[in-house]
Amino acid sequence: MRTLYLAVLVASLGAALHASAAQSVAVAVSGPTVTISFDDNEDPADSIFRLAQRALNRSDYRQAATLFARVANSYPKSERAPEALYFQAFALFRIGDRQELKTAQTALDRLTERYPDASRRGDANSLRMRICGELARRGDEACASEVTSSATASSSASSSPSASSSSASQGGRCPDPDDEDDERIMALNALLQMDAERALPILERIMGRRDQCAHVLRRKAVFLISQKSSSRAADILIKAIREDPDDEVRKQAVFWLAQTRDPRVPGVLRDLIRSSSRDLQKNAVFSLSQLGGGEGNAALRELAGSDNTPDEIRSESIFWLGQKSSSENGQFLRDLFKRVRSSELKDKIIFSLSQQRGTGSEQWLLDIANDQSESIEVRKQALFWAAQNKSVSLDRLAQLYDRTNETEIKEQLIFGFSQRNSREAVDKLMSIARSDRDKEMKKKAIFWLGQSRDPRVLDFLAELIGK
Amino acid sequence: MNTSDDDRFDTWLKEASAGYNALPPNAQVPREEMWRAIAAARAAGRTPGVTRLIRTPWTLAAAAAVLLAVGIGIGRMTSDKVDSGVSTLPDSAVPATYGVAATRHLTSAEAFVTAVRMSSYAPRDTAIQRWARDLLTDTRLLLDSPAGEDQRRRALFEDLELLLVQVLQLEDSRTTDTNELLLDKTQQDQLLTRLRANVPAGPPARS
Repeated sequence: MRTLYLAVLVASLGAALHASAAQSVAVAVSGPTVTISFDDNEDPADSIFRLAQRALNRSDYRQAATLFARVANSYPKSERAPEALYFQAFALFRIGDRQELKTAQTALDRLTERYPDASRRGDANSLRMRICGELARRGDEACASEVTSSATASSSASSSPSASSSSASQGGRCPDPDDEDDERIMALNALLQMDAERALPILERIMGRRDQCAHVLRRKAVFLISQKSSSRAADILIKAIREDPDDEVRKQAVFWLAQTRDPRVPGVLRDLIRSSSRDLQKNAVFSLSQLGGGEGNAALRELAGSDNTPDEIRSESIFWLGQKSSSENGQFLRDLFKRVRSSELKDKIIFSLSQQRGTGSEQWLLDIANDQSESIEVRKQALFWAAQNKSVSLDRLAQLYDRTNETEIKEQLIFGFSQRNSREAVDKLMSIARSDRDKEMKKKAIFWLGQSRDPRVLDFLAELIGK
Repeated sequence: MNTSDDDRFDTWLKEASAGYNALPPNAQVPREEMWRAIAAARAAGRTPGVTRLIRTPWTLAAAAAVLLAVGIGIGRMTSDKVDSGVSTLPDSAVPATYGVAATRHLTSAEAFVTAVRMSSYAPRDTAIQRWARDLLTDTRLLLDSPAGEDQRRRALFEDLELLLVQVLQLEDSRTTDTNELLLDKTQQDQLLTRLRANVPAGPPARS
């Protein structure tokens, strides 16, 4: 394994460095020491950093960490040194063993001590919290305390620089969330992973913050709360839906509400669909689709079937019914198709039914394609999806082609054949190109044959040209 | 996990695409067929058809069609394709809502990587940095959430996290050379390919 490591490293170096070497430096990777050579005009720190980046990009975290450490240790005045410390910590975090996590912490501490300006930029503070969170989960008391303290601070408006919002309260923009929000979100996340019971009250307090710049934290908090399936989590989300001043927070809360599995959720979602903004209504429809136990499906069918539901919401409901394959949903959608007049809703139903395999939809799509009482666009749509469905045999489509005299249906079928990627489909296209009485159909078939990868097509086209 | 990425990408895309590879005024492009082919291939989870079309000179139009696609393939991760007669949520360990959230996030990430890929290496591009920071926080939250339990998705999130921290470290860089050193184009290409393979056509989250 060691030999392999060295071989890889030497190969990398061969690509990276010029042949005429005038300087050299020794780097130990996984035990043995390797000598890396450089041109006179090449900064060794750059060269090692480049190799380290390559190792990082190919997920060789141990080698990357070693090389980054070498840059930081041997070239502390290099422009690369601060970044090397950061990426050393990142690589060690990815290795993930306790000892590596501790070393990663040390690297970030050195970054702060030696390069305070650099440590304030970029991602160093968030990474530090992420590492500490992982250590806390493994029982590190100091980190547990740091995580809890940072998470708790985020629930208080006065303690957060981004929440003190002097600029915001004076009508300016919120402070750049770069600063501490990311770190605190990571702390909250770590606390949730470490001790969900302690995290929830803190998250609840964050949701209660109304200072102008707290909406960023609240949006992330919603996601964290959603991971806790409990009535208390549902309480917080329902309250946010009803009271939060930020549209995005409300939308997120609706999106995630079904995850709480709380019995109040279906009622809340139904109320929202009756009374809220269109965006919230759409999220509520999605959330209904995520409810188990058939209750969500029943609500979706009710919405899709009612003429009193706005078309946009009916469309959404139809879409999500299509994504939940069942004979009951299939039958409902087929019945609904007969009742609706809007071609847009018909298109949605056709699409939704096309997504349901094994519910009798294949034959139904062909029936619609054949039904001359429907508009040609609706029929083409049905045919398009029937042709995409491998359960509908090519024979049936070919028979339909031979039987129909309708140009648009024939064109649609030719396109359908072209998408089948099968020998039989190419045969049919060649047959049309060779002997169809309609020149336009011949041209269409030839166009799509030209897109085929079937090796027979080239000869066929050459034969046609030679005629 | 917010929608502002879409606006950012729209603005960026508008600027980046103005006049890019414009088609001749009388060009005959079978857009409708192209769109349907792309949509169909996506819906069927099949790539050869897409590859075939994208290799034509209409790449930009095809890309636009993918961006404009409506509803195709969305929710496949949420569907239970068993005709049981009773619809229930999927029994997988990862709830479908996280799948939708992850897809939404990966869609934003795809837009971001595209933007980075086409940007110069100028340091301190504040818009890109801000965008990277937002994505990085969400990526980490998703990594630690049930969405990160799917191993394939987790690997994608981890590679995305690496690219994002590299972009963020550009702040500390003073020269174009340094930035070139930090950002590997091949790495971006590979990530972009994987992101695209994991993001269905259509809006990032249909909700």
